[in-house]
Amino acid sequence: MIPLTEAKLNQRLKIVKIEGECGSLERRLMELGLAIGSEVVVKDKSYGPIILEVHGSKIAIGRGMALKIFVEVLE
Amino acid sequence: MKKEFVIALASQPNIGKTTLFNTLTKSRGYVANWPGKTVEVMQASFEFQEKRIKLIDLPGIRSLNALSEEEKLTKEFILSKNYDSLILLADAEALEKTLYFVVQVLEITNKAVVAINKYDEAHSLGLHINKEGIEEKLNCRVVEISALHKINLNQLVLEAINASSKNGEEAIRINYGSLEKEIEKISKILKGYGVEKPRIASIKLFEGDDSFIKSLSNEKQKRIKKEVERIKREFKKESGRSCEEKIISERYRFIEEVLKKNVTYVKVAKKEISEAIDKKIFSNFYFGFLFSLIVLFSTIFISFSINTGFPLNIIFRTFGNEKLAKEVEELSISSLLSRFFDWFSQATNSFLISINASEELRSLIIDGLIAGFSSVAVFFPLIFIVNFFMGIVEDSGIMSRSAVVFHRITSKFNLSGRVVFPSTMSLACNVPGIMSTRILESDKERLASSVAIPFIICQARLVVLLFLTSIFFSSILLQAGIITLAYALSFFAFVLAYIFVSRIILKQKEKVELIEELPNYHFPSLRVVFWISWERSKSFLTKIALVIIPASIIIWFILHFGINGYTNSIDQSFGKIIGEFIAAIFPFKLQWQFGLSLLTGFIAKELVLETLAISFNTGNLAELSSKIAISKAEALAFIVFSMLYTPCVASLAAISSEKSKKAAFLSLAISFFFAYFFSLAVYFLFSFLA
Repeated sequence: MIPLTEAKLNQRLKIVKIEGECGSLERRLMELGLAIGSEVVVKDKSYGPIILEVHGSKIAIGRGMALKIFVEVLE
Repeated sequence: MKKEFVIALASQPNIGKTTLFNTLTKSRGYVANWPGKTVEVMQASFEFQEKRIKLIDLPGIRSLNALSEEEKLTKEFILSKNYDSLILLADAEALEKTLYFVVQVLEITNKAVVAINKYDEAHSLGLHINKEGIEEKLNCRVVEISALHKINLNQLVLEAINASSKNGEEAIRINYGSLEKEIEKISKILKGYGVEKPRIASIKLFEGDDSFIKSLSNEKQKRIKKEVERIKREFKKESGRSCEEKIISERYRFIEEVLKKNVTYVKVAKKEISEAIDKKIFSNFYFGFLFSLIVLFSTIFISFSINTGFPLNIIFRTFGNEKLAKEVEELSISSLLSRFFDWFSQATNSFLISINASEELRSLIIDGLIAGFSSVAVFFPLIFIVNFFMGIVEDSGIMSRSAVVFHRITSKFNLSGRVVFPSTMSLACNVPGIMSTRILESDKERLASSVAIPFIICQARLVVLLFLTSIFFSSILLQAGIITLAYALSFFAFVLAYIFVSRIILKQKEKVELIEELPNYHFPSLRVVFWISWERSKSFLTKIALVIIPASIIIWFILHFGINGYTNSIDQSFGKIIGEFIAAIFPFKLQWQFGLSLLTGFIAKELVLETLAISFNTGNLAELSSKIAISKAEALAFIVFSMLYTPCVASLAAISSEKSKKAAFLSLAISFFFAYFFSLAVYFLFSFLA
């Protein structure tokens, strides 16, 4: 289990844990598909934000948020 | 009378809902004013196979919570029985994500049909859908459509009419796994209380949404909520997961289940173009930043140039093409409008003379009424052009990428990257700037930025700024320096006011976090963007007109009446008294003409010039300069004050209709306070230096 910030690019990942309270921001993330059990791929993290692909669409999130999302590597 | 079918369109934002609405109604929709709502709703009626249909375009929302104004409105509407059926739109290119909203609605009602938009494009890129399979799982009809290419739209409307005969029960029932037992338990209690749709009411309670049990007595509500809270805490302790997260995850599992057997993706090529652009430009901060700046400044440049010819005229002039520069100025919309109103005033005047109208009446009609209309009319091109370009930038997918880039800088002031757009657009005109705060994510951000935006120097104020610096100061270098400082001060005041409102008034403590969806790039539908900007500007203009026209008649009265009744000379009018009064609030010397110009500038900032010219009784710059009897420090203080002191009436109307009257008042109070404070600071600083 690693935080999203440490994941390699273009690897299939599965979200296993989301830390912290379920506030409105976390809620928004989940509704965009970043919920436990969802598959994600990190597309880019060359500067500040982390660009993810989840459920076929792209999302940019800040590093602070990404640190709270834990994933497992699939395959 | 024939029965009118009320059909509402609902979906997540930016997936072609407005395009669909526009196509179905053949661009005959208009902004409907729903009482007590600040969110715009488009509406239209049309005939379809001898049936009368009223189509409502509900605001696009991600989820059925009640966090933002849009969400509240859409949710309330879906829970109400004010419709016959719903068309729920999903996007073939992002099915999982867009079905999340659809599924939430289907958990409530089966009076709905699901439309999968952009089907043709997705299909040609390798997407295959087993429609019957999805219909079976979702327990409702599915139509594959293209709103843009008008595919299967008749069938969609037919299915929507058919869906109206369903009973309104829940279409689907999602299994929430380990939470099922608790959901059922609460659901039983709610059923005993006589709550409609007890199961979904119970699920929503676990999601922290109590809008389904509002009909119950306070005591019952409290008791139930307490029980739900207890279960939520226990669930968290046992499983380590929150109920909200569990429910959202299970919904996504359900969607995966629906799609797994019924959708096959072959490699989608279009995304690779999107990916290539992202990789080439937006994966590097500096490239992304530069690109975003170019987009922003071209937008501003084009809006400015179309409106007044500036700064395109200067560019032509620099390259020695005087003729083109003149043409650009003459053909600019503001020049065309002012020529039209000049002609119209003259024609009206000769007509009024021919019917022997009194001088007072002529003045009222020409200087009051027609002048008022012309103040309103000048707003239209600006509002429309800015809305149009913002629509294009947003629709194309560029805006969200630029917001990510800007976020890196704006987050240092605890502002989200998106704030850059409304604030930059405000350089052209604050009104469309305030209108476009709706692109911001949270209501708090929208409120804080609408209140702060009037500090940004708009084009009308730029004209005043150029004029004032040139009558007060002769050195071009000094003029340029003052103009630059004025802009710097205005941005500083903007950020300060924003922080003040969000931190102190709204008590926003959390840091802004970046969460930005990045839709695929696509070429925006100009027809739809044009139409929606046109309709929005039109509906807005009527709102502004209702404020500006009465205000300009009041100003007319002040300038044309005095103690001895009607007067032709401003010296004899109440205007002079009021001007002296306004000038007296400053602890330094200010001529009454300046005080009066601040009053008329409240109606429209450019009127400051006109008032100064009339009250000093000269339009000639040199002559005007010679009549000025205030010191340089006083002049500087006046410039600062006139740039910051109050939003114009139109901006106040915009804030009040977008947010609330309170917000408009807040903006007025803050700007007056800042203006007074900064102008005094400048005055004392420069008196001291001199």
